[in-house]
Amino acid sequence: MALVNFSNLGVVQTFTSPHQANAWGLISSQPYRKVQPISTDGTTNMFVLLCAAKASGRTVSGSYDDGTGQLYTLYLN
Amino acid sequence: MTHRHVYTDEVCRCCIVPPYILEAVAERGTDEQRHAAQQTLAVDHHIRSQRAALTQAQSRSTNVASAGAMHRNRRIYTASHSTGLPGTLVRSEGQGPGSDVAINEAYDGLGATFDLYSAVYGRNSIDDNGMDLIGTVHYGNGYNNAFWNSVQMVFGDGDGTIFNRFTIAIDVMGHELTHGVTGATAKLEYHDQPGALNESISDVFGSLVKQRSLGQTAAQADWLIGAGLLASGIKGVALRSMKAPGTAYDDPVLGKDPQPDHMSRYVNTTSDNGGVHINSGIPNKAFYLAAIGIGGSNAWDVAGKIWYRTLLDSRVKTNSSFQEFANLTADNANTFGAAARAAVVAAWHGVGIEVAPILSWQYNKSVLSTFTSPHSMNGWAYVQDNGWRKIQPLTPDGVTKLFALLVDSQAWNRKVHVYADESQIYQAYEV
Repeated sequence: MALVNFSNLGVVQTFTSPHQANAWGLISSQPYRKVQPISTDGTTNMFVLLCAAKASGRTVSGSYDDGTGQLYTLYLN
Repeated sequence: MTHRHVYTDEVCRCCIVPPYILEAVAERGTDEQRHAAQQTLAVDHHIRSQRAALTQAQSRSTNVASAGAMHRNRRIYTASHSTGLPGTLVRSEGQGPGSDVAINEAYDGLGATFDLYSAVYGRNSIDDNGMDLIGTVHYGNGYNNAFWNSVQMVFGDGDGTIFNRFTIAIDVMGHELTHGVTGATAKLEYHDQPGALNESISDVFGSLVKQRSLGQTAAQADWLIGAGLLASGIKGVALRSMKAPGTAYDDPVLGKDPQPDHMSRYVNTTSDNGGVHINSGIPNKAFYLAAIGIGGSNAWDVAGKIWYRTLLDSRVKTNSSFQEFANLTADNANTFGAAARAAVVAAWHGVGIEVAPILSWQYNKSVLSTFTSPHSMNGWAYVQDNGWRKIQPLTPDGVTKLFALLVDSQAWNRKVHVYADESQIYQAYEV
């Protein structure tokens, strides 16, 4: 798995549904990315952070899997 | 059932030469050496009885610095071989050196100590309020000691056969003045383990004064306390060795350095206020190991800052044990990163003390950053004054709730109360 890092980007939109481990974030200048569905609670934690960034206007840094395009780590800045 | 020794005097006598050395000289020295040692012991006893009055005088002393302004004001006096204090003023701040080497050494040593505390730790003299630094040289006749009496430093000339003049060792001045810093901060009681910590802290900062004045790295330093004090002919190099406690001297008159370097060799004794100058070898060795283990160049930087922060830590009690102090040094090391903490933990392990996590509530802290990944129970927060902590991975939903609280607090600049130790967050309130 090759990870691609990004820094200090805004969260434009977030999306979810009641399906298990289904959380998405639209990060500035990037396509919509699904949170990598490794675990249900871990997906929720990622989604919590994305929603807080969106609501507060804070930026995020982190990484995504270059192969799947899925979000892998997130920092709230 | 455990017994705690009760001492009639639990205040800091704060003499650099411990009583057991002088008692050995009084027993085994030549007639002249025995006479000088007995006189020194008598004077030391008198100092102890005077201390209460001197402490009252200190509270009335005029510390003229305005708040926040560093204030270095040295005054050196000579007792002219009497025991009257402070004696006759012979050099004031800003005056140049004269022909009396003891006066010059005292002036420079007090300055080097002030400079370490102010430049490295941001401390404004002993009391952090610009207290004047006063020293008296040529105290008594052949007086074999130096001491801090809560108001000033006093230096004997030594008898010339066992000890040289006490201004010869700059770390002695750092040591004694640090007793004043400890008295103004942690107020560690002067007996048993808190007393040995009190002595060790003075050795630590005394050595750092010397290392900084010589521009030595931790690896270059000799880690000796009182090098140069022992007269020629005495089989020894100093009063104590922080690097190798128990090896500083082995002499027919002085005896052998009794300091242990490991808890397995802790000395249980009623003399020397419960071995305050003896068992200080254990935390001394721990500091040496920490300074070397942390690496970098200068021991006064990271290692010294960790010990200084711990000295100021309100969780240090007046009767703190080695174990409690060790736990707090590791906690304070977190500020300097995981590697620094690991070095401190390893240092205490090296002297037989296993650092334990400190679990405590910390109030009104900001959440400075948060981190997560899609892995189960992997939520982290960087809390003000704590560094990165992982949320205790107890249950998945519990981690998520605590993580949501911390993220929300960060996002909206709200304070939190957190229940945490050096590695994990266990509970939190958003306030």
